[in-house]
Amino acid sequence: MTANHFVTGGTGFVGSNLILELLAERGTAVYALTRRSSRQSAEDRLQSALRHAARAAGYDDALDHAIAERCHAVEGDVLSENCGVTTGGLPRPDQFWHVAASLRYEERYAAEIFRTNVEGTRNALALARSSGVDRHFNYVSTAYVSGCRMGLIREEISSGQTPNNPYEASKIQAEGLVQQSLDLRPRIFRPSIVIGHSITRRVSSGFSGLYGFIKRVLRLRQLLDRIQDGLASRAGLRVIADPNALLNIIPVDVVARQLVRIGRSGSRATVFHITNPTPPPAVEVSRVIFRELDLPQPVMVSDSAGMNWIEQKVEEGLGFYKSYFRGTRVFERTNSDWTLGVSVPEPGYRMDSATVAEYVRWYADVLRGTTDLLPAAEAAAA
Amino acid sequence: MTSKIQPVFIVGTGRCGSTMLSNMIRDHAGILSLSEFLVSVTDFAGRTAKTFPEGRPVDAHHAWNVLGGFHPRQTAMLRHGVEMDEMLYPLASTSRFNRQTGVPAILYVTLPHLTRDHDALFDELRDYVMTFEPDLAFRQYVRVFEWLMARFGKRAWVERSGGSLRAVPRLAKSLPGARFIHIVRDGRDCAISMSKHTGFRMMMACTIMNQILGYDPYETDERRGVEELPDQFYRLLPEHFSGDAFASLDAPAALFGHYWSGEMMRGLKALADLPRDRVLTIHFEDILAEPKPWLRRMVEFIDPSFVDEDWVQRAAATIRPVRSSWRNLPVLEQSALTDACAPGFQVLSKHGLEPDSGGACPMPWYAGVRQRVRPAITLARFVGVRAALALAKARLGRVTSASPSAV
Ligand SMILES: NC(=O)c1ccc[n+]([C@@H]2O[C@H](COP(=O)([O-])OP(=O)(O)OC[C@H]3O[C@@H](n4cnc5c(N)ncnc54)[C@H](OP(=O)(O)O)[C@@H]3O)[C@@H](O)[C@H]2O)c1
Repeated sequence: MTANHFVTGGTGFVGSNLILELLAERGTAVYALTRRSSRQSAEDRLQSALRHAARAAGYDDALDHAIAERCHAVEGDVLSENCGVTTGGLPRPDQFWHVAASLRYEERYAAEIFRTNVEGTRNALALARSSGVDRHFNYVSTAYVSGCRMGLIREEISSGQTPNNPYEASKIQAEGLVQQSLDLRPRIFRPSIVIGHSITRRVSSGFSGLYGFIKRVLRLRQLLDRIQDGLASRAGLRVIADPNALLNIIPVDVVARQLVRIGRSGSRATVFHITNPTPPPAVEVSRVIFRELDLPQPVMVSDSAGMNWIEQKVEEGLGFYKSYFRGTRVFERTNSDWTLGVSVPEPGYRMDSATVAEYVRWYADVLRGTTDLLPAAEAAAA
Repeated sequence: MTSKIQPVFIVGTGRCGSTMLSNMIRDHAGILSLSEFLVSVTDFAGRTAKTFPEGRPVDAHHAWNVLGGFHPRQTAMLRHGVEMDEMLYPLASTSRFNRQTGVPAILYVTLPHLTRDHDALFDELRDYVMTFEPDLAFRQYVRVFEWLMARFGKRAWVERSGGSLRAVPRLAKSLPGARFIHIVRDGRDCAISMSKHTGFRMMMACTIMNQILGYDPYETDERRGVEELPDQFYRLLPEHFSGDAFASLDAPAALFGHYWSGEMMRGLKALADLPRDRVLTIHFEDILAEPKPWLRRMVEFIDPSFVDEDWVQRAAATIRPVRSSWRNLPVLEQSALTDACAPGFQVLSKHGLEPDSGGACPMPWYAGVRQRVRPAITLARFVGVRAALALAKARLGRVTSASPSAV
């Protein structure tokens, strides 16, 4: 059984792990739309990203051969028409995986986010069509297309929800485009917050989501200490958090495995939540993060009344991540679980404090190694 | 010509009122007043490493680039009309330097503080600096100070830059024998003033940007990770800088209160490492209340031969009443600010440095007792009963009492 897969976003966090998972099947060939950089060809970028991802996933160099032999970069850019690809020499793909996206969420990048995520998806659909994809157009969306909606989030295309930021808005629009492309038998996968590998706890690239939050907290700590030695440890912070909020984190290898298994299935469903059915309380995760970063535990409060300036700035500084701690969402997984079969419980779902601490510690060490306090500018002036 | 009188730096936290002293000293027959030299040549501390390369000799070109260069933070601020109030260079259309060209660091304040003929002095100074053989940075700058001293017929020089308390360890290490006059002012007044002062706002913005990015965007074209910058800092990158962006920077007094405490903690530690006779601490509030003895004490510290009653009279006459501004804040803001400054007050108290009993004066009999009941005394002395009550009330009113306070 050999299959050709076409993947966008293969140099990224989710895309590279998806490719590793696809390679697990003998004979599979992967064609990955890849941008060149000023210093590296598309092929070199792809190969090195995949080798990197393989190391983070705990593979030794045994997989490097498969990566070199069976993964091929197709130079292009989702911002170009047909992704800048002439399909002439390409084998017809069985499956098309559109994973590339911009994970920025700030208003000031709105135009770029919409171009990449909405126009990019339009171009990916066009490329899938012109390449004559045989089975499915698989689109990696996000569970957070639910926007501000709370409670039970169904595996269905919904409308009318209010997005929290341009990223969510762009992913909602892109889902709309994909859903309408019935000729491509579309499937929409919605992962929640993707974290490192379930065994190694490591991440090879694209430190967004939970990692972005950890980095914010560390930076804040460093900044406070820069302003006044020891301020971060003295100034206990109040942070607004809903005690019932759950933080839906899921390891990247679990995501990749579920994508590939559902991809191969004959399921006729369109939307699949790739989420953790047993997510930890957000407050507990934040406790672990503060502890691992040697910060005094924040005091969780329900509103901003009486917050001091630093606390207000922390609230503002958390920006996007604030939504992690507000409200409770439960993601339905009927389509996913039905398709995957739920015979053996997935060990990667387990997120007790000790497990979460391992993921956080790995990243805190990475950050400490690379972003130590700048030497204090002891100079005059200031 | 080498001065027999050991160098003196007037140091303090930002906005401690020391500018007034530079102006007074300028009028003294024997002392050369070097104003804002360190601030200008380090470009608000952003170029410290370039100004004082660690252990490496500095040649004539490097020294002149530091002194006569156009530094990026100053230039951005000048272009957009938000230069420091202290800037003395006249920006007339007929001036040699203007907002577009930028103004060389030493012409910002230091030379115009000494003479109206600053442009000619600048050229003369360049000719002199260009004769320098490579030497350690500070020795080169001291050469400049001594040259200026001779040029103006003075016998000693005193450098004063806003916020230079932070530089004490470096100054003490680079210039063994250097002495320090430490001006202390109520942190709450310093903080309010810093929060309105363009120089300190710029310094704070750059500190935060550098910390988030891990590099200094004013010193490199690298732009890795700028997505991480909150909008208000993104708009202060050199390529986006504008007067409006700078005006809308949210940097309130409480932030500077924390900064003041940090500076005080670090500064007092550095000063405590020096022999006692090399440090004179004077409270700004004490100078205002009773200027003459303190001004006399100050020049005596610089050198006893400088005590000059005429000068004391003239200098004291220039003092204008300064309103303490923090008491005008709404009660909650007062308490937030007091909270932020508490660690600084505490460390001052620990060193026995309180108004009316400055470090140079004998410690009062109750100082020992005070050490033991320090926290309460600290609050009572610095915060005042009303503010202490307000603070207590504000604390009680909080959502939760579990938040450890900075006190
Ligand atoms: N990470 C999460 O927690 C998470 C959660 C839910 C959903 N998702 C979804 O998962 C997908 C992948 O996310 P990720 O975490 O893997 O992000 P990532 O690590 O940032 O990777 C993004 C990928 O998209 C590619 N890309 C971006 N712009 C492109 C363009 N103009 N042309 C071609 N390729 C382009 C990037 O290529 P370069 O290497 O050339 O930049 C990279 O391969 C996204 O659709 C995201 O919405 C992620």
